[in-house]
Amino acid sequence: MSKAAVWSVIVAFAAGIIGSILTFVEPRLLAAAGLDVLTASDRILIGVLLLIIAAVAVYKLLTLVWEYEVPKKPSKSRKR
Amino acid sequence: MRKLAIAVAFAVLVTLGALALDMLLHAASGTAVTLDKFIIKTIITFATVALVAAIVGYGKVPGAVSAVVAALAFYIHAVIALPTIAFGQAAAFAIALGVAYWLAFMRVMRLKKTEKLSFAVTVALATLALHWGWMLFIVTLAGNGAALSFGMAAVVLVILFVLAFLATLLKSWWPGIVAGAVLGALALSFGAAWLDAVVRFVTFSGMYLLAYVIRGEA
Repeated sequence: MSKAAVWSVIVAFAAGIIGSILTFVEPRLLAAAGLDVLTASDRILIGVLLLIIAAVAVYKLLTLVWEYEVPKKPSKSRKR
Repeated sequence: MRKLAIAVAFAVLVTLGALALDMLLHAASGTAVTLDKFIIKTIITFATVALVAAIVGYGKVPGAVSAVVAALAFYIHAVIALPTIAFGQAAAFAIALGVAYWLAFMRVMRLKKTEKLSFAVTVALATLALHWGWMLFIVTLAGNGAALSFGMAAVVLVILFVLAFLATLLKSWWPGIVAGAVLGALALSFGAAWLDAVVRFVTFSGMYLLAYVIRGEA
């Protein structure tokens, strides 16, 4: 597994989990857990941005896997 | 570093182009465009397009992925934070983003010989979005309603397009600055304030230079 793929997995998991918590968890639950920072609207925006980062990391991982499974065809050299 | 700068310039043009098309759709359908939606759409779309362009690259598939992810993110944000949006609006935004991406990538960035018409449309749309955002800001500060009607926006778009197209006829970056100055002078002659004229000059020239920088880069 390449270094880029490992980083993609780490970023996708970390950003996805934190983004989901900030976006989807009820504000009162966050307050109970001591994570009641910023306003609800700001939290949701930051959460959505983290989810975008996670989605891009997954997309990068998919392109890496696709390149690994389907290697580029070698160019045909002309024999003279 | 250069790759990142090109990705950022590309993302700015695509984001503003998509916003302009989306706001034209909103104005045509009679739905209100507010400053908070404008800002949130700008942040979400710019983040998505810039990240995909910088990390994965450019092309038809990255363009489609950017459009879907940005529209979905905006929809998620809107459903949770501002529950006033229908799914159709998010779908329309995805289509607008796809069109703006296609214009900026397939017709400006990929071609070695710049296609004048697409270049002018890209610059005009990006400038229109910035003008619209500026007017929304002013209107929101004053506490009034809508910033631009569909008819007025269409007239502004045509003026911007004509200026950008005329500037592309001279193959250099400076005609963009001159066209921006002409736009500022036009605004002044129609009774706009000095600050308005300066904003028009800076936005038009800035967008022209950004489009000039990314042409033929892919």
